[in-house]
Amino acid sequence: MTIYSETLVIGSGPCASHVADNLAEQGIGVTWVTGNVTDAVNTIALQPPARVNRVQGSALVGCQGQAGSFRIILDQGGVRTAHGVASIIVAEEALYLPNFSEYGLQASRRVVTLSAIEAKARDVALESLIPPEARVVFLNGWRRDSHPAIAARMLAFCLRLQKISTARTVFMTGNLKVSMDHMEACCQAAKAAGAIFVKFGDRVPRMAMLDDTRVQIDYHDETSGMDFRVSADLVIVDETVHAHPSLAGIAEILRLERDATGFLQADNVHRLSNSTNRRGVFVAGGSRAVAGAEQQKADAGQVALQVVEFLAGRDRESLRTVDIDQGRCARCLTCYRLCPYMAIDISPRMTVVAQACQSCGLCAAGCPNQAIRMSDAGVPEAIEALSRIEGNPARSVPFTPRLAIFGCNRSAALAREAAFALGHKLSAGVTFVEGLCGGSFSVNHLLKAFEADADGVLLLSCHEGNCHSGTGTSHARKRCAEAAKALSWAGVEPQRIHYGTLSASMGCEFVQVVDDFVTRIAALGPLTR
Amino acid sequence: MTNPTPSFVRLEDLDAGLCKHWPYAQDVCLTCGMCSGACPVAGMNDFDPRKVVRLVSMGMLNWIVGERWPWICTMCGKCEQVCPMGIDIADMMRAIRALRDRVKIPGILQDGLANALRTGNNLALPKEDFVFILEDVAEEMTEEPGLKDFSIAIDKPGANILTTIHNKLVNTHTEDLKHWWKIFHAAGEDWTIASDNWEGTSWGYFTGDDEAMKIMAGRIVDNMRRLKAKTLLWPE
Repeated sequence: MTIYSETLVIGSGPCASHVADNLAEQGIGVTWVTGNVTDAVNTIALQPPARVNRVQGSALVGCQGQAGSFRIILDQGGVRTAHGVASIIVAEEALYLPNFSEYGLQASRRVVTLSAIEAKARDVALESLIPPEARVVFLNGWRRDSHPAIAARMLAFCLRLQKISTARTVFMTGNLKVSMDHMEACCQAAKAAGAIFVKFGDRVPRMAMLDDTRVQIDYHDETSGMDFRVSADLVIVDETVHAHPSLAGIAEILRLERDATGFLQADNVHRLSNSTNRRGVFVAGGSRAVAGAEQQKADAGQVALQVVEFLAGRDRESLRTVDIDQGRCARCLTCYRLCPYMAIDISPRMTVVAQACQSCGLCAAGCPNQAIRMSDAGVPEAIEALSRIEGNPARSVPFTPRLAIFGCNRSAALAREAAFALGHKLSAGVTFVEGLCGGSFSVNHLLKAFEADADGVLLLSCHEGNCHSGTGTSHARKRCAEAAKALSWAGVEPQRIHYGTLSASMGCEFVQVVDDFVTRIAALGPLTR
Repeated sequence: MTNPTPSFVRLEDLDAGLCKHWPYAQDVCLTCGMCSGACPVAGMNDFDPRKVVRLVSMGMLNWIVGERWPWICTMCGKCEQVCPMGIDIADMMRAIRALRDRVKIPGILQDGLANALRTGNNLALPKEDFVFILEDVAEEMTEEPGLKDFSIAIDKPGANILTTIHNKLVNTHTEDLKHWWKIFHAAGEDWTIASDNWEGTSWGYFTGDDEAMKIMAGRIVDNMRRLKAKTLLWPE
């Protein structure tokens, strides 16, 4: 398999530009695709550095292969070209949409968006933009906090107006979080210059339109307990940060997860910094809802570092090898469909691509012909060990159930260690079988535990939405349900198998869940043959 | 319960910059509410320190100066102590008091201050009565065990400590004199009291009247010079 050396950067704005620069500085070759976005031409005027091949006005239209050996297709004005890249970074800008509906307003000459007035203020002097002594009201994050990057821009413009022009500003916000650089100083300077700050908490102000198109705002000031009324000559409305429309198509081509709002990282604790669900594919800046010029720049630097680590092969501890026994493989494509990391190559034969594999074990567990073996996995061995236990002390009086607990190494195994570190003990007769992921346990594994004389089987895995492989924990849940059905067909109580979720820090809860299960199985009695 | 129609304060009617040059840093208020939490009279008359800071930064002095609340403030300073932004709230309260017409400040303070300016103490207690009360209590003290040789020194020159007197100590709380006298006696301290302008409770300070405050402080300084005491003790 060919391993390529270039990195593909996708993005039409400053963030992609920073990413390309950072990579070039590290001596990494970059193909920079600016997308079919028309304002890409305006935002990037400068010549890209050496080692950066900027393909203006081009889009990604196809991608095959895995980390280290992606085969991509670019389309530039209808002309398609093929390239090989080792890694891909999606660094498209975010979209800033005005928030008029949040305030029940419509755009007019007296009601404008932040971006619109900022843009105008770049070209003309403030005096010609704002009438003298105008009452200018800023509307910032009412029912929902505004994005800090937006709030920072609102504050900066408020300070500018209050200091430089004769405008009399009022900054109306539900909350005032000053977490970004310089925000607190900006806020204090604005106040010192005479800006009035109103933070109103839960009681949202009421708007009314006056005859001369001015906006009248009635609000309750919680600090003084009094009601105020202001007639605004100009209202500046904040914006919300949205996923760029091109992200949907990119996500489909690259088979990336998206969060609820369309950004290219799932809302999953394992998607750290710039990672996606696929090794070798990274996301930065506005494509993962990072906004604000400095923040984007920092994110661009961060993703470049991650790519350097990845290209040097330093980004993970060890690669398990995963073998597909060609003699047993029926090319059913189950593993291909199960793999959350797109790490299975189907041609010429079914192979697990080591560079893309993240060792979840879903393929091995799901293969209907057990054709897939993971080196060093341990689950089948552990189950064998279950059945080899002789003279079992658990078959004692009173009855102490023999339990097999299957746990993933990111949740249950760690919770168990935490429990022991805290001094907890589990009841006798409990055997723990550790797996790579909740999804690495097959229905066969679960049933084999019963064959090995377990009275009950408990499967514990990461919470839904926080599974590293995305789907592992829900596979675990479904397989437990299937195993339960199989049990009832065999005349065994289906309650003897149970699925639960927890996280690595839940040591005490782990003990609680196990103890509860021991009690329930004890009530059911030993598994009769 | 029907809510009454709120009456609005129009922003146009306010001069938000009215108190801009007040030196109490009121504009950096975070509205955290720690001051109100610490204040012993927060909530009375619908007021609290945070509200006052807010009204001042809005230039809304008309809504505070005539209110009772700035006058029930005890000047304990807890608000200032807890404020994370270092706003001088108690000082600000005094500035608000200073804005009220002198004939409109609470009656008892008016009378007391007038007395102090005229006679040197808030009670208009004549000198002979003052001295008599002190000597009378001192004699009572000598009847207690171990205090046979106790005596007080009035107008003694060159003492180590000259102390002012809170007027209540020669009015309703004369017994309280004995507590600190016993401490001074046990310490072997060399101390004295002035027979004129002995008042330590400065209602010039308390009512925000700088002129009156200067006069009263000036009289105490005169006492120090006259009696050549080494240290002034002003327990107020």
